[in-house]
Amino acid sequence: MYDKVSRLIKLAGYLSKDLNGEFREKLQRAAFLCKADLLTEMVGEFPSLQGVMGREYALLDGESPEVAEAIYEHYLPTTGKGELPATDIGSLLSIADKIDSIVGCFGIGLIPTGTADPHALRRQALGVIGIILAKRLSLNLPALIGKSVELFNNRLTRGKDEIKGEVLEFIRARFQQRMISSGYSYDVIEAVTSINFIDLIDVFSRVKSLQEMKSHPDFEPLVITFKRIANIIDASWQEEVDPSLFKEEAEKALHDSYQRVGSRIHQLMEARDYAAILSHLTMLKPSVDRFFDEVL
Amino acid sequence: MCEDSKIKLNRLGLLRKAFSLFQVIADFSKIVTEGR
Repeated sequence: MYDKVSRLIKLAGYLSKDLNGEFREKLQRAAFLCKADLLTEMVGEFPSLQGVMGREYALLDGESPEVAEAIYEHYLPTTGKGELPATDIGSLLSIADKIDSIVGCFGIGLIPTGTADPHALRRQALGVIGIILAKRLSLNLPALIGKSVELFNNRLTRGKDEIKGEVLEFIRARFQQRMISSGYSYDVIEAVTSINFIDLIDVFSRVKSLQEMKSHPDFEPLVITFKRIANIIDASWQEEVDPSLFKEEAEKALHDSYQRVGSRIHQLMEARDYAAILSHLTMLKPSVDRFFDEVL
Repeated sequence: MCEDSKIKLNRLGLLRKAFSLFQVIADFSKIVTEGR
């Protein structure tokens, strides 16, 4: 229990490293106390009171209301679609607790199977996703998992890279499941999550934009253009393009178009305006099609 | 490397640049298209 709490304090500190000192102090205090009620006879007798009693004991002991509430909230959600933590401190502590549990179980080979998930790791992963999306927390998920793995020191029995990869994939599968149940198309979700699954707010924003664009008449031709390029450039790579080697007008036109559209897309990336990025990609399409028709 | 090869690689590089712009959002090859 002490090891768990020590890791939680550090992971909570990592999650709040850019936040103000008072918030961080309360979060780490809540992390320090959040499992204390598990050692009481009350919770031993009535396990469903875990967190509830922790909050009461904390208040009786003079802890701040924010710390006491976070102790209660860090267990939330207790069901797949249950109540989420309302406070920021409770939300971050809940994420830290769940990531620590998932990493710990994967780290010693306690990985859920198709028929068994005795440690409710799927629910915990869905909880992490639910909290991140509800609170719009921009987190680097692979880095958080990496930090959690690191905090276990040498207590895990499997390779660190293997654990990190499997935990991220486990969360990605739960994220896909959540998106499907929210009505998004599987192919859109797969297309988005397969290239970059780091910040769930960013991933969700791309899924929404792509799904909206999918019903637009320009979308399918755009996808076909992309697939044409993918078929040609597979396994070929060149860092720089030398405009002095262009022989055809269509090459120059594509290069000009790339520079113009590319510069705007990079600006839009800063604002994560994916709808506008998709709209700019459609502007690139005629030059690509011309390149295929006249050059290749 | 002969001139033709340089030109060809340059063209592929140009396509790769265009491809990279699509990939800021998604891997479009995973998108199911109908009839084509």
